[in-house]
Amino acid sequence: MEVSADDEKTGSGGHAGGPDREAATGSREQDAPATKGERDRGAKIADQTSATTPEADTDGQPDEGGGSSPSADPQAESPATATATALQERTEREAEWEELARRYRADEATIDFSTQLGAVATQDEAELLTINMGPHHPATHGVLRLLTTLEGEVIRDVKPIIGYLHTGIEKTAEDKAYWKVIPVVERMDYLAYYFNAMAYCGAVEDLLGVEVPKRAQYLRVIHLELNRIMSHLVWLGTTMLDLGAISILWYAFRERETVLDLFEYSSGQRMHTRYFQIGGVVEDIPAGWATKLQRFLDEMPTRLDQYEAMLSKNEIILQRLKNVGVLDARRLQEWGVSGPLLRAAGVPWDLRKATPYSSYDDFDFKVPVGTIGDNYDRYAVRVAEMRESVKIIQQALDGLPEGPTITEDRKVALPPRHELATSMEALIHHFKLVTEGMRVPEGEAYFPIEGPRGELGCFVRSNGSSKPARVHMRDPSFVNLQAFGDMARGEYIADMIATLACLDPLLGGIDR
Amino acid sequence: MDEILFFVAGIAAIVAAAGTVFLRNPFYAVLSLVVHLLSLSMLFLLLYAQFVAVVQVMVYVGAVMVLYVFVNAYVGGGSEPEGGGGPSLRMFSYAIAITLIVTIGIAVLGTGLQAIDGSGPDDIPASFGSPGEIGKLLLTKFLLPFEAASFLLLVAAIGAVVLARRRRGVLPGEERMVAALDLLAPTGTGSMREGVGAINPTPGGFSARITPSTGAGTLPASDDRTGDDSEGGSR
Amino acid sequence: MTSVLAGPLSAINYAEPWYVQIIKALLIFAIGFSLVPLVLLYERKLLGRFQGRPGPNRVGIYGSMQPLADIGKLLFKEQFKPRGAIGWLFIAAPLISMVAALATFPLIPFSGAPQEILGTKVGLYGLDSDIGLLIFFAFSAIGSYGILLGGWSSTSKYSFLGAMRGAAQLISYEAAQGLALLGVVMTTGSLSLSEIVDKQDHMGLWFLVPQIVGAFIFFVATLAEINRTPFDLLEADSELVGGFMTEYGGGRFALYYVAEYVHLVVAGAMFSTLFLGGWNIPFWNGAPGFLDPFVVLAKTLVIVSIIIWIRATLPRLRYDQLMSFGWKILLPLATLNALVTAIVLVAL
Repeated sequence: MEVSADDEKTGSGGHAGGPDREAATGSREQDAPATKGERDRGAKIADQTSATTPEADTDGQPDEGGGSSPSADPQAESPATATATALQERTEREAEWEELARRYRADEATIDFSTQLGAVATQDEAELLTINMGPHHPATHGVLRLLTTLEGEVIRDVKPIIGYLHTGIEKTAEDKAYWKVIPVVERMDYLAYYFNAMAYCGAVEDLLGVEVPKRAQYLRVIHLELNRIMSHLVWLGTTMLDLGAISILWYAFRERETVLDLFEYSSGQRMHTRYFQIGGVVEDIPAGWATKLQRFLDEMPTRLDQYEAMLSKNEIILQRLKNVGVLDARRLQEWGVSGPLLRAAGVPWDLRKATPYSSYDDFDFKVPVGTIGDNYDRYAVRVAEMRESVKIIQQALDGLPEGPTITEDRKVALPPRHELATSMEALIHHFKLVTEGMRVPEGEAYFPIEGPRGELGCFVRSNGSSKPARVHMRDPSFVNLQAFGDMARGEYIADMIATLACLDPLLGGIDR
Repeated sequence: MDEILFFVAGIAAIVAAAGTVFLRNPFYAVLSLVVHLLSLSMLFLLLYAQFVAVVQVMVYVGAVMVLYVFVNAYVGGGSEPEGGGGPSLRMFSYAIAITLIVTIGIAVLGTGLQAIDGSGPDDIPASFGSPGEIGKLLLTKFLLPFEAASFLLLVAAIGAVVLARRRRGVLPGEERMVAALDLLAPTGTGSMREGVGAINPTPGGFSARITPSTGAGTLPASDDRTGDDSEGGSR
Repeated sequence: MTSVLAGPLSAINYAEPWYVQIIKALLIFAIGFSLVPLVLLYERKLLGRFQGRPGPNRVGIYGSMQPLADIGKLLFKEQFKPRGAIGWLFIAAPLISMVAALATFPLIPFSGAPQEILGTKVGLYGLDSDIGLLIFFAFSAIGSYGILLGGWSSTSKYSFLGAMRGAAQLISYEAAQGLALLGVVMTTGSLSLSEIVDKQDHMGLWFLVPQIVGAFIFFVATLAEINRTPFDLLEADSELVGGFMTEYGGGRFALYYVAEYVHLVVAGAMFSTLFLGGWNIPFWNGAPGFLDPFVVLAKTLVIVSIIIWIRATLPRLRYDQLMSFGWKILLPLATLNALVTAIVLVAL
């Protein structure tokens, strides 16, 4: 594994990923209907990184990232026309899809399947063993179901079946005021709640055009990176548990506990903190939090050294991880895989570098990449990412600017408590916000961020009311899971489990 | 005590041997053979042949028969034996069996009648049946048979390996035929019918390339791919 | 009724009066069983400490009643079996495992010369045969039937895979385990366990030193034989749920569970007998005889601790890695060790 020393400007990662990504987008048209939103976005980012400069921000809505967030779109038309066109196209497309689905169902109903099942595989069928793993299985990391066909101990085929944790969160969000959606979307990917909130808040902020104060951006970065560390720690523990190394789980959870304590200290909750607010963060960090955080930052690298001493030099771990579950960058991109999985295959594609949001371009960090994209690279990339996250948090903590932690826009953020006693206007704003919520101008926004598992994007469509017309999450777990069959086929069953663990799927995020 | 053990072991050996022959399910037949071998080792023990008794358990019960059970468990299922040939073959097998019984009967009865008045060896040396004694015999008196037998076993083992090597495991890039169903819809798109195996339960479909010819497998050509006004334009 | 076993069985060094033998049999059974909860608790406590947590500490003082609570809970659970399971085999399989595990326990000698207890000379072992080692292997071979039949009769695919793995693993590692001991046996010139200890006594040197390679191979192969990490593929919970015992619950599961811990104790005791000088205390020749059993138990505890330590540290191997390690590394190494030992012995 090697670490690519990217410069911290928008960049080299984006350029490296961009053209490949565009190419991948083209081929993905063939077989991945589920990633439509993500596709459009990929094309846009490619445009942006290769053609336009981040400063060419002409739409008059300064946004939080200093003009370099994906909403910086120089070719924006007037909102009304664009929305109308988009809606019309959407209707046409939906009709087309419905027709297709109807034809498919009709076809399906007419087929006599009993005649079809004979000759799928050339090898003797009697020697194949079909095992149904899950939805309740210790190694499927949630209620994932794997329909696995074995030949001896070798995987001939595996079909992931999802849907057992469907919670209808996206639909629920349509019935909530904008600021009430935050705790709902936080519960999708339950190990990346800050990221979920960030993606959603970012999208709504784009629609509203509010500017997030610098201090809030830094606090967001601190919490996001803490969350990334926490998520990777859970990943490390459970993955190694799947490999049979039981103790590392407890060590990883010990550090996770520290992080959760920090979360609790800053927001009152250990999980699903609802700390991020549209326009900033709910409140400033309490006194003494920075000291605690500093203690954690001092401790974490030594803990990571300990993990690596226990794992990276362990011959059995190396034997189990190296050259297992290999999938090259090209194929990964075709499947739409992003995040550590893609970086492990050598593509330095990190949205924090490519399209910096929330002041990520202020910090100096590297994007760890692997070489061949096996499980070992995935492991090493994630451990290295934890180190980089520590570095980012350190920089954010040192350079934490003074100032408000939430936007001053009273139409978006609640007025401070003391104003309620003196200002009638503040009272009205407060009343309006609490009872009805903010009204968001019509339009659509897609806000992608680099989650612990890959590109986590939130698409929000507003029809001008106080509730979102549509909220959709492009969850990295869901997209990454597509590549699982390709990774696992031909592996041993034990390696399939390790590969699944290294994929780091989060069923809450997959099923939503 | 000895007598009780002898009869217990003897009866168990005979019953288990009969079971091996008469049980139709091969798995049970093999298990019956295991019981038979265990009984035999008990009889060996009663004959002061402790070493042979234990080795019997170790080698036959512990290694050879485990493989039998293993193979039966893997391949088993067909409990009905294959059809038993023609009448001439059956007559032939009867003849062979009767000959065998007569021969063995003569041998057993002969020695048994001879020994009926004897009392067995009076003075058994303490080292009788010990590993040391057996080793000495194998390397002196029975050296040639011993070596010949081990050579034969070696040849058999190599032969088995050569025969077994012909069949290999899964090869990457193996040719697969694709069911017609795969062409109609991309499998793995997660319908519940597929999940429970009502459709396409057999392997291979997941990786099949979807050919656009049938129409159903392709996506509608979305022409707004290059434009950026479809979703984010209003910002 | 002077000697119940006056016949051929007396040749297996049965020299004691019949009532002593019966008392001994009961005692060994009782000790073997009561060691299990202790080891169970010890493992959980130790694992807890390795993982930075206290381990069980709610039931009884210092969590001492935890294993009893565990086993009690299991025993009072419903005895279910899957539909389609082969009934009598399903019931018999854990019994086979249990019997095979317990049957090896009497082979371990706990003292040298017979101790004088209430005026009777009693050897502190269940069975001191001149083929003791072979009996040990014979019973561990029978033990594999418990796993094989249990997995097969459950008619579950997970159990089936676990059982198949188990059978293959046990057969493979038994070969290495046996060959590793050839050096010890050749040096001693006997298969009797007490004579092996006596030999170490006379040499003034534990076999661990001259037979370090053999000791290593034996230890590793034993780990595989008793299904401990990193060779716990039989019940690899991450892929096979519970391996061969997936479908077992209640008392039958408890039987497997207890058998596993009896195996653990026997493995520790066997290793200390073969390589750590049994009851021999280094640099103290005139140790009183009553200390002997405690010395053996202490050494057993050390080995058990190491095994638990390994469990806390190492991940598990993959099936093919396990097989190739057994056949391509351990077995040739063991053969080489036996060869070198033979050459050295002849040369000396």
